[in-house]
Amino acid sequence: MKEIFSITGIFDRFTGIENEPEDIPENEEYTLDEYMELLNEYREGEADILINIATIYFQDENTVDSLKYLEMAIRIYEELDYIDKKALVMDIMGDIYKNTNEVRTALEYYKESFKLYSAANSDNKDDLLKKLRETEQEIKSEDSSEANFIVKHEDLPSVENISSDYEYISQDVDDIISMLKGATTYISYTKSKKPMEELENAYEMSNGIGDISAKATILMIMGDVSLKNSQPVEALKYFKEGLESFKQLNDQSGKASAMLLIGTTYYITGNMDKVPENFRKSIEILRNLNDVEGEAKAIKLMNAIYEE
Amino acid sequence: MTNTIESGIPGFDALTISKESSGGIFDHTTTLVYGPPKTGKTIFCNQFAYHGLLNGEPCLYVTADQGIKQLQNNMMSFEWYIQKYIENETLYIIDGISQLGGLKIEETNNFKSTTVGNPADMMVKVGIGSRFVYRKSSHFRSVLDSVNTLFAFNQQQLVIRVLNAYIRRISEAGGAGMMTFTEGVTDPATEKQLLSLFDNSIRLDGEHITVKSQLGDEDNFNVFKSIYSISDKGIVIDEI
Repeated sequence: MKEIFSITGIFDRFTGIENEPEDIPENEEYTLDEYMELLNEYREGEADILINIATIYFQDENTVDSLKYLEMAIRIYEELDYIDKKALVMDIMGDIYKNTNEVRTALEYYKESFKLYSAANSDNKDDLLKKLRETEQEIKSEDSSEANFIVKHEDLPSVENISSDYEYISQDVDDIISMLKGATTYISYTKSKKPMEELENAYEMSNGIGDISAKATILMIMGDVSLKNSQPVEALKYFKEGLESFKQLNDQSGKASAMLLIGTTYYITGNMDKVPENFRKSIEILRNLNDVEGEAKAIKLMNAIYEE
Repeated sequence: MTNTIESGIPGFDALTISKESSGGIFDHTTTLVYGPPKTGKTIFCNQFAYHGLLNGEPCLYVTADQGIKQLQNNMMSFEWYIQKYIENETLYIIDGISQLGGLKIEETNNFKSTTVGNPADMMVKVGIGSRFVYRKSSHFRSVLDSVNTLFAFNQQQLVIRVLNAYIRRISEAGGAGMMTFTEGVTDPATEKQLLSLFDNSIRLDGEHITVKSQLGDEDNFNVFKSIYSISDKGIVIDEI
């Protein structure tokens, strides 16, 4: 794998990594604006370091940790509103997934990256579109019967399509989330003016105090908010991280909920082949737990998806 | 001399006079008030909080044992009227228990509801609350009554981490924090760990009060001992 990446130079595209914030002279007075600017420089520097760490992990063939650090960098770019850099990291993540043969996940990252490049009117947009088409072609070759993946730029799921798909099942998704421990409390955060900011704050807090159960529930709600905002790639990221936390806790019920939400997100992104697997496993867990109510909610959600 | 604040407990400040301080509670420090059940721990903290309010120091009060109504009633039985401070927003209350009893109280600028079983939510609200009181004054007091309920609803080590975060938050904002804890609620190792989190400790056993004030490093303490009684005006430290 090392060879592949030294050829494609995935991480070489990231410029500015060596940029470091200027030293602060001791005892110098700064204005608020200057401090804010300085803070942004440091945060950007932090993102650069995270990418350097990701690069080292990648060179050591540890893609899991490499992806983890890239996701951390994405969060910083999100907060800094650096759309172009966020797009580039997602593009890189797409490349990593593609090279580990997770082409459908790669496609999701490319799609999200394409949206961001388009929004930023970046020159990288055209290159990515080419890559996107190649990936979809690859998926098509893998399974020629799945015409859904034939690539044309205009065939990408539009924000409108994602919204309407989600609207149809949103109540069922909310019902699944409400089964989680502490959900009522954290769902109340979504009623604030800046729900994602509040949830991120709660996420940081839960992470800081090691309240894994709260962290997992918050991640599920963050995923739900992302789906409502037509950001399925982000949603998938949150649901997958939540699933890992539930696994860590050995919380079977939480695990089942996370899998339902992952299946739902795959449905929204058009990865229909991954939907049944997640639903089947989830329902199996709920059945083993003798969770009749949970199972009924899961089946209702599944029916809503397939009936559509 | 180390800066101190008045405790509001008659006799306490005189008891704690030393060559390092003029008596009272060290400013910007945290104190654990602990002992067996029914020895006046809550009364001690309420007296401390109310004294600050009387002197214009805002207070962040996390009530985990009793709901806001019960807190008001208990304070009132000592003629400590907190309604005025709720109305002028110098008292910020985080109620961690009413919601558990199914009671729905509307949240305001300075009243927030949480549940002790959701420590992350509680800490998010402590963060908001500490910023709120800090904006009123950089000298504020904070009370958490009691830690017992947190232990009852959560894993012991999680509670230790929560309290650590709480103490850090209050210290960073420059407040003086006080918490109550009943002996025997946790295993001895956790109890020892809990005590090590605080700068000072005050043990009440129903008759005797033992105050340990940290002086700079962990192994350097001033220890003061006396007897106390509970009157209709609150706790009074008596001369031995």
